[in-house]
Amino acid sequence: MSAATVARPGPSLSSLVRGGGAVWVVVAVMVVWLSAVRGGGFWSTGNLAALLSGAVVLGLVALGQHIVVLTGGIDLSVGSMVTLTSLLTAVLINGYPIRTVPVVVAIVLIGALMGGINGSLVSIAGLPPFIVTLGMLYLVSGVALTVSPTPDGRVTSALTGFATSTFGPVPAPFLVLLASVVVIWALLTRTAWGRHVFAVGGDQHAARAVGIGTTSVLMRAYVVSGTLAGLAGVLLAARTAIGSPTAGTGLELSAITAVVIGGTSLLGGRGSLLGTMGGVALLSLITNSITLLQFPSTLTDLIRGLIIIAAVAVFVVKRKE
Amino acid sequence: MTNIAFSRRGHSRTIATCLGVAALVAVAGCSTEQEGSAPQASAEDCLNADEAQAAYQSSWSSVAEAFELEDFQPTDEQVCQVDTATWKAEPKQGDSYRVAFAAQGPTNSWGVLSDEALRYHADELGVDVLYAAANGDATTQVDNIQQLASQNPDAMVVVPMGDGISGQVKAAVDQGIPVVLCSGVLPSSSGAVSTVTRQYDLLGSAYAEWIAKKLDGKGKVAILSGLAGVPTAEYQKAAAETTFEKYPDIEVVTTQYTEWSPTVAKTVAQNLIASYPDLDAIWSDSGYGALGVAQAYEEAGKPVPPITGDAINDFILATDGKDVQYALSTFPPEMSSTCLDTALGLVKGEPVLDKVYIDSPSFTDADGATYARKDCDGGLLVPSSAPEPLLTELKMCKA
Repeated sequence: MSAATVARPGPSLSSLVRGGGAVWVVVAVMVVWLSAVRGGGFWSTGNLAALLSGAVVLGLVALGQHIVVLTGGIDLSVGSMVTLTSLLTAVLINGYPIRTVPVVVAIVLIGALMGGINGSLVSIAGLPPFIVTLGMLYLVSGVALTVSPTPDGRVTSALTGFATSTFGPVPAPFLVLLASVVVIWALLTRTAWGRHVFAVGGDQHAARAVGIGTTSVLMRAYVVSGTLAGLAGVLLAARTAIGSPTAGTGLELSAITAVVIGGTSLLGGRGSLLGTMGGVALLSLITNSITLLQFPSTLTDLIRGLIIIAAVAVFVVKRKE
Repeated sequence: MTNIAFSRRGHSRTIATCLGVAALVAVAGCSTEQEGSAPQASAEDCLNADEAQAAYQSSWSSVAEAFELEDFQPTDEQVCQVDTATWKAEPKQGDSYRVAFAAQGPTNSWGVLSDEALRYHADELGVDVLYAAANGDATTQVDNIQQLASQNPDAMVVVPMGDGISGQVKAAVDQGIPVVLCSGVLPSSSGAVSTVTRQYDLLGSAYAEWIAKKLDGKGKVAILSGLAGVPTAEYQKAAAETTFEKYPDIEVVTTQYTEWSPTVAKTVAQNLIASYPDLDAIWSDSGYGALGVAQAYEEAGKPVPPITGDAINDFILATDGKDVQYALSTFPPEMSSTCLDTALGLVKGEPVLDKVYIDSPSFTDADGATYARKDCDGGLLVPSSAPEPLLTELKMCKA
């Protein structure tokens, strides 16, 4: 045992990739680099709060996307769900304090319902997730523009106060993200459903053959994704104070990016929450550093594109090994 | 049996959830006490009101004169002078002021010139600029404003990408940073100290009034707006619709979006030609939209109906010498330099208005040829008040 322990090499790149640690190495390198270049500016309370606040909505959506991708699916509708739920939050509350709690609960449930529709079409009707959620993206965007083509409604001071309050450099909404990560981690690692998510994503036919209720597993995955999108919509509305029919545009691609660079396989069945959160951290750091270092904004998409291709290339190579 | 049981449980859950959501929404809808809006300044609080009001009204009268509109009245707007004593301060770092610029970003020629005009003017004034681009996205801009505010600039200029940034602007103002809105508006609840812009209401309604005058108050009109859900497009469209409602014999037969792209506008116009061959005029909010329309009608061998838009050089050059009736105005990107001046005025304690409405040239096809710039890029809004060296440096015009 001793010999085996001595002979055992340190964590290889492939295990680092699979465990989601590789992206955190990149994050650490970026933090060291930013500290060296803009130490005071980067570590200032205000910048840290901006960095963490910016990660909340993307983090919640990426959590949902992570679960759906683990099942071998994809959810292209999360961005439009965030748009609609954010708009509805502001429109329904519209400055009435007594509406805050019921509307927030209702909005999260509406997110779950939209996820349920996705889940039904994928798991019961057997339609391809890409097509179902692409259709849902357009449908929900259309509903949002029907609700209001212009920015409308406003949230209460209680919600905006929550969005801007901090504990030291840590914004209160970031604690919601942390709590969500813990809950999703527990669901994935401590429940039968969590194990079934991996099994269904690995091989749906084999999972069904051993008695796993794949319909239920898939349905719940999309419901969780929708619920998290609803929660993200509420927090986005709280941050922006009013509703906008274009608020969540493009979030679905950022969420997929975070999941992919975190090492989760788009084929399903393999991935780590740690990696996905590392992906969120990396994307947030890239955005933060562009402004902090006064780089041309056109570099944001360029850097993001390079990182995705590099990450996927490393992942595919290591998976083949 | 398992499937049936699952299905029943699923139905029950769905019904229960729907009922729960309905009950919560119903409870929410029954509430009656609303938090107050930000208080508007009363006439007595309004500093230097007469002079400020005159500056506002002149931006409307110049358009009325250019389009020969007889009864074109400004919308109700109270313009006052800001009490700059609140914001007067020495530079927070070093000897020169640092102004944060939350920009749209170089997503099109308008964005490029907006960015560069502010930078150019900042260099002239010896002001440091902290820059962040939203690339047209309001959510990104929320992050940008928070991050720029964390660097504690002396003042901030924001090109608003949507009302969704209001909360973050308010947070920056509450932090003691005077914020100047540039080339756009936000609700008063944002707390922005001053707004420098060309008025959406003015452009939207002036174009509509010109069309109504051309048609003698009777005819079929198509509205071609920019992007659905984007305030710049929606507010102008709303102003046009309100104006057309005053003319009962003008029928708005369709409203379409061109994405401010000549290619999309051309496709939209081809459908218009097929569906509404008897269209009398087209209200367009952009020169790119008007350009696509002109190309489509030309290819179809039909006369271009009277059309509006912003004064893109390409459109004027493309219609030069042709029998196309148009009314154009501009939403000048170089107003960003005035935004910078306003921000500096605040921190230097100089007189500043809470709303600075930019007046820029408006003209019709009668004068169009005099504004065409054959030596410049097609995307340039003409006439441009941006410095010629800057236009040359950006390769928008030849030296």
